[in-house]
Parts: sequence; C-alpha cells; structure tokens
Amino acid sequence: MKKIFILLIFLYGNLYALDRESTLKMYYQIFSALVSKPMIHVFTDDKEYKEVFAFSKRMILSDDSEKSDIVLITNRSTFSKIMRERQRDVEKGEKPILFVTDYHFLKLSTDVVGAFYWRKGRSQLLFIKNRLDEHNITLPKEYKDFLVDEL
Amino acid sequence: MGYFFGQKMIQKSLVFLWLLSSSTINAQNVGSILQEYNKKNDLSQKTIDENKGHLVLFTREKLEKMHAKTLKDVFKTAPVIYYHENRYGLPDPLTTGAFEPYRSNFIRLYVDGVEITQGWMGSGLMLYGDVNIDFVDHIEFYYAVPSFEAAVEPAYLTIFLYSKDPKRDSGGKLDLVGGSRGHNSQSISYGEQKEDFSYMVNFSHTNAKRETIDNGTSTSLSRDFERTQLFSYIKTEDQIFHLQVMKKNTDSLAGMSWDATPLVSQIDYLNIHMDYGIDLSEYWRAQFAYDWLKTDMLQADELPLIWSDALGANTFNGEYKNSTYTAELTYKETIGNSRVTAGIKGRYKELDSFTKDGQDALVSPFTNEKIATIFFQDQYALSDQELLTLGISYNHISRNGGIEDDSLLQLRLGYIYTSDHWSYKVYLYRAQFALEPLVRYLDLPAYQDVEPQTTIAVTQELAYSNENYRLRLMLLLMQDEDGLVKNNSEDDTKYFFTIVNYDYDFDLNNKMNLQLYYADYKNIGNVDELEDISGYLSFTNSYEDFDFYNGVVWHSNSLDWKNYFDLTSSVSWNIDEDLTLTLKGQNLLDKAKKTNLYRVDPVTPAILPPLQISPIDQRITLELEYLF
Repeated sequence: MKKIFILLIFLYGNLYALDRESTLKMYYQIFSALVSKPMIHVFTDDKEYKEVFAFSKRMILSDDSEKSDIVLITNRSTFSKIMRERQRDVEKGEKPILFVTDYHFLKLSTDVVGAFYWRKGRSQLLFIKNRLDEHNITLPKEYKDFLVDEL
Repeated sequence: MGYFFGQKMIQKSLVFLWLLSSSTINAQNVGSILQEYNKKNDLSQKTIDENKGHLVLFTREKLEKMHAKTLKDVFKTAPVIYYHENRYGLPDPLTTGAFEPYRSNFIRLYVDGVEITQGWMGSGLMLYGDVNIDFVDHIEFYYAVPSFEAAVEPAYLTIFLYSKDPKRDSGGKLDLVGGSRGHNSQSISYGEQKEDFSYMVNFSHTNAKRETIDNGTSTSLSRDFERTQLFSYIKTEDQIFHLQVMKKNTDSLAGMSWDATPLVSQIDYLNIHMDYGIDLSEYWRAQFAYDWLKTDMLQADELPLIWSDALGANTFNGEYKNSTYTAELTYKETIGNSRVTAGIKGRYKELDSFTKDGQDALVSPFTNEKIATIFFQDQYALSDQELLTLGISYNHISRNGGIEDDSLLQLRLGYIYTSDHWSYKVYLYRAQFALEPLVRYLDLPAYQDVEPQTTIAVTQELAYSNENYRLRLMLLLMQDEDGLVKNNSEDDTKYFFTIVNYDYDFDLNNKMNLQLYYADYKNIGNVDELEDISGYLSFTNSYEDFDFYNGVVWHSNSLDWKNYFDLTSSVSWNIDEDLTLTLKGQNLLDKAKKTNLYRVDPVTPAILPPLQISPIDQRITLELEYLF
C-alpha cells in the first residue's frame, strides 16, 4: 500500500533494519567525497548494507574486494579477513579505500581512512587526514568538522 | 567514427550528470544529512508501534544525556503515573501508602517485547521498576490499553525497554559510579556482531545507600539495597534467547510493621527470567517465557505484623518460591488493505512453596492461576494517511482452591491519521482487570469472589511536528466500574487527563523538552475530587567536549497544593572517544515529591500521623565510563 501505511504498520517488523533512503544519501555523500567517479564500486559482505546499496544508482555492489573502489567493513571477522588479504598482497599497487562502521577498527589499522559509527545514540563521522593523504584524497571543505589529523 | 563520437557524448553526458547531481547533494550539507540519518535510523524508529497507544519516548540520546542509570531516573519524569515506592521500599507507582502488599499490577513491563512478570507476587515492575538500564537502548511508555498483540494480561501503562544492538554498540563498556553516603555501582557490558548471530552481556552491581526515614524512634527506617544483575541475549535473524538474573537484598523500609517501627525489616529476592522467540515463517511467531522468583522475608516488630502469613506473630521468617510459564503463538498477515494479527496466549502462575522458619507452611488451597487468551486485531488502511484499528481479546482466568474463575473481555477501536506534519489518534476502549493472586492469597476469605474491574475510556492525541519542534496534546477520559479498590462513594471513579508536550531542537547539540500534565479525578480512594498537576522541563546541551543536562520535575495536587521540585543536573567531560567523566546531582533542592506512608497503632488501633517519604534521594555522583 502507500508510504504512510507502511510506516504505521510494517516499520516495526524488522527491528534493526536501516532506513534505506537516508542510509543511501549518507553513504553516497561519504563515498563520493572519497572517490571522484560517477559510479563507485563498493564491496561489503554485510547483508543489511547489501540490501540497501542494491537500490543505489550510483554505488555499484562489487563481489570482489580487490576490484572495488571502497571496502565497507562492518564486523570484526571481515575486518580480520581483509587485513590478512592486504598483508598477503602487499606488493600490489593501488588498493581499495577501507571505510568502517566501528570506531575500534580505526584504531586497529592505519589502512582505514574513516568511520561512520554510532556513539551514545548519535551517529558519528570521522576521517583521519594523514591516512587520506596516503591515498591522495582531499575532502571538500564542508568535512573539516569531521576530520582529525591522526588518532 | 560516428559510433565512437556517440560513445564519447554518452560518457561526457554521464560525467556532467554526475557533477550536477554531486553538486545538488552537496547543496544539502553533510550536517543536515547526518541529522536526517540520526532521526530515521534511531533504533526507537524501528520499535515504535503507533497502534500500541499514546507514547512517551526516551531515545538513546536522551537517556545518555540524562545519565539515567536506572528505570527510576526515567520513570520519575513520566506523566500520569509517577514513580513511587511502597511501604516495603519496592517500586509501586500506584501505591496508596496504606497496607496493601502490591498495587501496580496495572503497569506491565517488557524487555525486547517480552513481558517480565513476578507472576504470583505481581507485575515485573516490582523488581524491574528501578532496574539498572545500562543494557537499554531506548524506553517507550505507552499510556492506555496497549494493543493486544503485546499483552497477555490487561494494563493501563506498558513500559517497553529495548536492549542495545551490538551492531551499534560492539565491544565493551565499563561504568563506575560513586556517590553520596557511599552509594556505588559497577557495570560491565560486552556485545559482538558475528556473521550469523549477535550477542550481548551486561553484568551490574549496585550498592544503593539511600536516605533513611525518621520514624520517631532511635532506629530510622532503611531502604538500602544491594543488587546484582545479569542481562544477556543471543540472537540470529529469526530467533532470540534472553537470560536475566537479578539478586536484590533489601532493607524493606516499614515492612510488615503497622506503625512503621520494625525491629528487623529485610526482604531478599532472587529472580530468573528466560525467554525464547522464533519466527516460524513469514506469518507465524512463537514465544516462550519462564519467570522464577524466590522471596526471603525476615521481619520483626514489638507488636503483631501486618502480613497474614505471620499469623499474628511479631516475627516472620518466611520464604516463597513462585514460577510463571508463558507461551504465545501469533499470526500476522497483510491481506489487501488489512494487517491482520491473531493469536493465542497462555500463562500459568504457581506458588511453588512457602516455608516458615524452614518448615513447609503452605496450607492455602489457592496456589495456582491459569490464564488463556485469544485475540484478534485488524489494522485497516482507509487511505494512504488513515488507519482504522479494531481489536478484541478474551481472557479466561481459572484458579484452584475453589476460587471463582474470571472471564474478561477487552475491546479496542481506534482511528489514526498521519500526514507529513500532523497526526491524530483516537481510541475507544473497554478493558477488564481481575484481582491479582497475591492479594487474594493473603486474605482468601475476603477475596474469595471479586468482580473484575471494568474500565471504559476514550483517548485522543493531536500532534504537529516539523524539522525543529514537535507539539502534542493528549486527552484521556476514563471511568472505572466495579473498582477493585473500593471507594467510599457509591459513584464510579472517573479520570480526566491532559498532557501537553513541546520538544524543540535549537540545533543538533542543544535541545529542550517541556511536558505539562493536568488531571481531575472523581471519587478516587477516599477523596471526592482530586486535581493533580505536574511539569517536566529539561535542557540538553553540548559544547565542545562537554555535555550538560538540566531537568526539573514539578508536582502539586489539590490535597494541599504544596509544590515539589526535583532538580537533576549533570555535566560530562568527554575526555576522548572512549573515556567520559560525569558529575551528576539529583533532587538537588531536596524538594522532590513526597507521599504518605500510613501508620496505625495496632494496640488502640488509632491512626498515627503518616510519614512523608520521597522515593527520590538527594544524591551527588561521580561516574566514569570507559568504552573498549
């Protein structure tokens, strides 16, 4: 049925589902600041994010983390797996940008350039300048409040 | 050549469109997109059920800013039914201050959608009314009769606590609090999202050192307690299992003493709750819950005790054990414009044992109660903005020991209108409530057969919201027939409530909430008319690494029009992303609402002047939070 009917009845069905519209808007805002391409290839193995990104016209889901522009990491096991792969392929040239949804992962590896995470009921966006520099990324001015030189 | 030229043109067009769309998105700055994301992805947005009734919501952000450590910190700001404690020092908002064992069974408490009940001894509120809420993400208070989907037994107020999600709160948290009179608490949580499941564990310990109450003797009344609490769950996409354990050793205030001068007054509780829920298919869900409570009572007075199981003695050393088993099967399906929900629920409450001085003393023939419930609800979309809701629930309560059965019929009819800015709700209810087993058990001859209470109500809510503020007006009109608590008057008890809320966001970091409440009661208790007024004003502010909270709760009523103020303030220093230090003061003016605790001289038996007690202690605390 219509949108509001859905809001009234179905919203509470999936307890922790992401709101699609605002999530797509937020992540496109973040990723387009990191990657200057009309189409951004994103790898994630998180089912919930995959379901949301599948509706994006500008973010294309990638099956291969190596061939993506950005790897979005949402859990510890994926984080460990990606880190192992990066160490193994240390010789390889350009690597995808790592972005995470957990503040702890920012501390665990200097390869991660930023995080969009929850803290005390509020979402937080954070980029690390010296890590962005390694990828030759300069963020637009509006991100200056979300940028720290280092952790 | 033409093909190549065409390809180039398409590529250039795509790049142009991308640049155009990028600049359009950037025009909406990152701050406003973030604010929109915050609002729409707050976990409360996933659990709020507009059809459950009239909501007062405490979001995670609000709870964090308030530095609410227990449900009591939140409950004390809620309108209509204020937080109170009874003569045993237990959370009992509906207490009259007289000699009843427990009176707040009309308030029901849920954790992650599953009711916590103490079964035979009363509502789950009895122990969970001041539960440590470090495991909680957000809290919903629903006024008036809730949707039948949630309730096994009827209620006027339902409180839903929703736990934190490891996807947002992964890792650990250590919380240490120390404060006035040696009050202290420690809490540690850990949660993790795995590939196929997630789990969370919270363990807390509270050593509550509370203000004592002068009762005119050399031994003041004590209500200190020591509580150890475990909350845990493990869940997959379609299954969830909770385990909660609480051990609470209390100094039980006046306890069983008629004149509130006990020589010994201690009650220790050990409570276990387990539940398991599974989505059997897209339409079917099954849920099972088990609650167990052990109550050890040690009471002594110079004169005979109130408690009937003391059999007129002046000491009582008794232990009760009781179990509650609940099973539910619900079916949900959308058929055309209808969202149909139906189900059956069963609950079995049993008094397992009662021992006195270590000997079996269970002689009452009344030891169990069975509740069978069947319900049907339809939410029918009249248009894309209007919803009609209809519900019917039938409960059959059977009891052993020759106690008469009860059949309860609940009806609920509602209309909801929602547009981008406006919303309107109206409900008509007929609800019935039966007398709780403990009250009946303690005075079986008097309560052999008690008519259920029937309540008729009409409630309305009108709200307007835009980007910066939300304004809401709630009107509730209720009438009790055949009240379980007898009035002096022949007439029915009538209630009229109105609540106004105004929430204003100055910006992302600065917010204000105002709540005003007025009630007019007719024929309540021993009073022909009672007017009751309260207000709650709070400000939350953030500046650089500091967060501030200031909130004041004001109460007054027509009994004496005395004004009570409970001022709570806190300042937090976010030292870094993982470490926060908070200084908090509650009831800073020492003028929080007091209520009467009635006393009788059991010898004469003259009525003694009541004690005036506030459930809110004046307390300063220092808190350290560490995330890892």
